[in-house]
Amino acid sequence: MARFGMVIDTSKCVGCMDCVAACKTENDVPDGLCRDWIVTEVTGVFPDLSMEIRSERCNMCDNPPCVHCCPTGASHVSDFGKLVQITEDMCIGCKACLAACPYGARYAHPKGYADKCTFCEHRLKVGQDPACVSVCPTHCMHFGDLDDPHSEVSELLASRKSKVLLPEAGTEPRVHFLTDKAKE
Amino acid sequence: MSSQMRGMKNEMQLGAAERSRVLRELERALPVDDLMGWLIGALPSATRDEVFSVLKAVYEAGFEITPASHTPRPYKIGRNAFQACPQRVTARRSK
Repeated sequence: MARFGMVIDTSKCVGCMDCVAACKTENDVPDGLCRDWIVTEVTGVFPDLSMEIRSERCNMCDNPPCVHCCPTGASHVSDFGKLVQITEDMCIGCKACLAACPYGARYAHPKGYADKCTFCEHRLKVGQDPACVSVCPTHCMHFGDLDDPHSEVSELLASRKSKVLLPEAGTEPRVHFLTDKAKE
Repeated sequence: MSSQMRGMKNEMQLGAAERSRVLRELERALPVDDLMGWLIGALPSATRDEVFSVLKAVYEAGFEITPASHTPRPYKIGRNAFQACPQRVTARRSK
């Protein structure tokens, strides 16, 4: 069984927000809310500064606190790709998962349930990449099976330096960020 | 039916007095190691939506709720079977 994940090359991301627009369109995300977003992080001390641009979303954690705190089982790990998903009609809108997610990846949908990135599960099931991955003009986003050593994502992680967000939280994220320069 | 409509239906199915009674009983029963299991026991003839509506009221009533286990366990309400991680309730912060 696949274990889907994402690898994002921060050296190629220009923060164009095409991924954000594609997600909102593909998933009919309500105005003022988003399932993915751009973070620009500047580190260092002037004049030695560096900037990292990241496209962020639900990390589809292997140890998901949102699932552990869900009182109804609405938040669950699906058999398909071991993705963290939400069954809308079981969600009571208690917002426990919003509080538990250290990445702020969830929001309360105006219709009363918790919502977040699904990795475009509906597209995956017909053999397409998530909308954000498919529209990225710099091809900085890669999607695939992390358990397949020959997948593009596994090979990127094996050959490049990478990091995950908030590793100290113990959530074991499946969205990885490449931090070194891509070889030309 | 939209989720918003379902939410409204939940609110109407079980009266406010009944929800308040269950909240008072829960407070007296604290600590409770499995909130869902306790609610199902406290509302033996309720539907899944009715139990969920009281569960939501518990979350909104200021109880201290933490995961009791990271392993989902099965629950059954009427003909509805589902899995969820048990939640522990230890105190009530406010009313």
